Amino acid sequence: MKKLILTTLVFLMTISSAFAESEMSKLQYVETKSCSNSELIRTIKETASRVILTNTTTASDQNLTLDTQELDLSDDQKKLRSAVQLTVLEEGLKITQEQKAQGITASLEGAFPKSNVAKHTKSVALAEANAKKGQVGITAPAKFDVVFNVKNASGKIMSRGRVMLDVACRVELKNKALRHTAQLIAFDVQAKNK
Amino acid sequence: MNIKVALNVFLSTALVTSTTMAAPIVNRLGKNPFNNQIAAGIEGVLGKATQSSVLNPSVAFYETFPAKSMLNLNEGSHKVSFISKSDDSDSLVMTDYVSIGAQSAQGTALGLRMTLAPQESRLKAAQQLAENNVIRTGDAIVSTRPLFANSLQYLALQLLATHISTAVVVTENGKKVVYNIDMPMDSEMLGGASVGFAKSALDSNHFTSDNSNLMLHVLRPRLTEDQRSNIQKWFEKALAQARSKSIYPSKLSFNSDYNSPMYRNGDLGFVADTGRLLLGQDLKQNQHLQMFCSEFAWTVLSLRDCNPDTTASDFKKGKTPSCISEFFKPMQTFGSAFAGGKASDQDLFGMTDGIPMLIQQVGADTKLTSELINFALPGKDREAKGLSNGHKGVAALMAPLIAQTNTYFSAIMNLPMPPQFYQAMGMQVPQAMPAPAQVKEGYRAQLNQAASVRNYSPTGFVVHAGMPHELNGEKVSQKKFDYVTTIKYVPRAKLKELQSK
Repeated sequence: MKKLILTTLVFLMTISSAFAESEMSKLQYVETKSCSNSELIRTIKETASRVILTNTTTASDQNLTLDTQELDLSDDQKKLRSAVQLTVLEEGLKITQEQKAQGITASLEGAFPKSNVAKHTKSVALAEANAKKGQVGITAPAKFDVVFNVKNASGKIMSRGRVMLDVACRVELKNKALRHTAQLIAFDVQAKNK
Repeated sequence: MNIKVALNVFLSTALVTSTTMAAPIVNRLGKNPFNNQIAAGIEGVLGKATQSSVLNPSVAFYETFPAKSMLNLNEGSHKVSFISKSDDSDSLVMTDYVSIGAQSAQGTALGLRMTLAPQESRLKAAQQLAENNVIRTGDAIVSTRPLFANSLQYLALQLLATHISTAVVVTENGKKVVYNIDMPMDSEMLGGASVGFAKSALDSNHFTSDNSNLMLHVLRPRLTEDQRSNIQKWFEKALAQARSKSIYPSKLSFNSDYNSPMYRNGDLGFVADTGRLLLGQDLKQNQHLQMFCSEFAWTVLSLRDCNPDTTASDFKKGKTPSCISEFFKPMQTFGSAFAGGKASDQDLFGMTDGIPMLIQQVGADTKLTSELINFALPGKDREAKGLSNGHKGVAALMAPLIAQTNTYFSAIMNLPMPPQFYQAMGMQVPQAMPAPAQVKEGYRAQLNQAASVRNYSPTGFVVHAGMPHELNGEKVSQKKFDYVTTIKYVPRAKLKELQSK
């Protein structure tokens, strides 16, 4: 009985927050293993790897909606669109569906500037110390540029792009363990020279 | 003075008067609380949307308030100016709406004090609401979704409340107007259609995009005049900071996890830091702040005893200023009201107690109590038109678990509990009978233990307003909000009869 009650409550809480999130926030909110830079970069990649859906209006949280019925496309182009779907990152880096079909990809180079990476590490330590005292620890928003290379099928770099990121990491005690959640405050993908 | 000058003076005076005085509210309230005839009259305005055949068909009972808990609008600082009828098609109309009539001598009707406003005149409505004292600075404006009644059960537990804004009444060009301030401070919430960003006269996208499925409860915080004066200053500063875009989201961002408030163990450093941001100072006790909608409202109300003009220097120190205190004690999930709790108990009602709290106040007998619990939590979900597929999927997963909440409410409302209930509690009871007090209290303790943090969710605000004023003849000291009215924007054409008859 007790176990069932606990499960009930956990679900109640999960669902109420899910509703709130849908209602109120357009920003990505992700539970992470830690607030480390590598974990935040993973968060970025998860967000950037979301597929931009076509033929539907379900990509509303990014305000990215494509409807092939409304575009003046050839039959071949329409077939390609339905077969190859672009991610948020690929779209931001100006990779086309045709290029993706030919093997052009985006790969991670690193996070910059290094000074901001170091600042964030200090901020994480302070947030975790506060969390261990029973408070909510939130890092100062970290501003990173995560650089990606656009490579062709043979691995040659054709261009670069970056994800400009502003992220706060929240740390709190949950069941006597530290729980980390990253919330993106700003997120923008830009191709080089943009 | 010659006749021409006199005429000009008269005309200009008349012009000033006509542009500075908003029309009073048309009074269609019943002489007795909840006159059924008048309530029936607004069915045509609201439309039939929800409910079973035994209940009033437009608004679910768990989206209403007990008549006896409603704020008196006829006297004191809360007095509202009324007229009996109006030929102005932009006039607002206040009228009763009955959901369930009183079921016993001690019971009270459940319903709404509706304020109906023409949806074509949002800015003018915001001016009338402010000029006529219907909305005052600091009032919580709760967004509720009536069409989701009788659909997903978890929405019933939330009393259909999904968001809280706060009202800020300011005087501009000689006219009072109400703007909403919100968390998040983004264009969705603050992008006013009539006047501009952070001048949303309840006309940003949030308030207009799904008008057919929106009603706004106005809840008034209990404040002294000094506290009200302080709160006016704090919320005006919040509007100014929102307009300058200097704190959101760089220093204060939105927390989308309503189950993770910044409040922990009584530490109010985040309230002090919010005050610092509103004063244009730097954060001192946190590196960054994150809040959800009702958390921001609660936080600013917790500054009510701080006059920003005279205590700004206190905020420059690293500690929490002594003028800061919790506006209300952050709530447990379930309170003590159904297990012998006293009127002085600050945990008398919990955030999820809304449904039994309303049933108790209406004075329902055993049969109606069972019907109402089963109506709110029938054990299965129904179509919630317009809700995302993701939510529907989660709701389907949740359906068997919601039945446990039905069981808890049935137990605390003294309904006969079957032997299986007692078996699950490790007891042998041969026949159905109401749960003894210690079983109910044990059940509640287990649930509250699982919910490890206290909170101030939007539903918590609604529960405060729905609490009775008294329990066993003593004042309920936990209650910090009073219900004022529920605003519904409807087509102007539908209002005409109620305005002019």
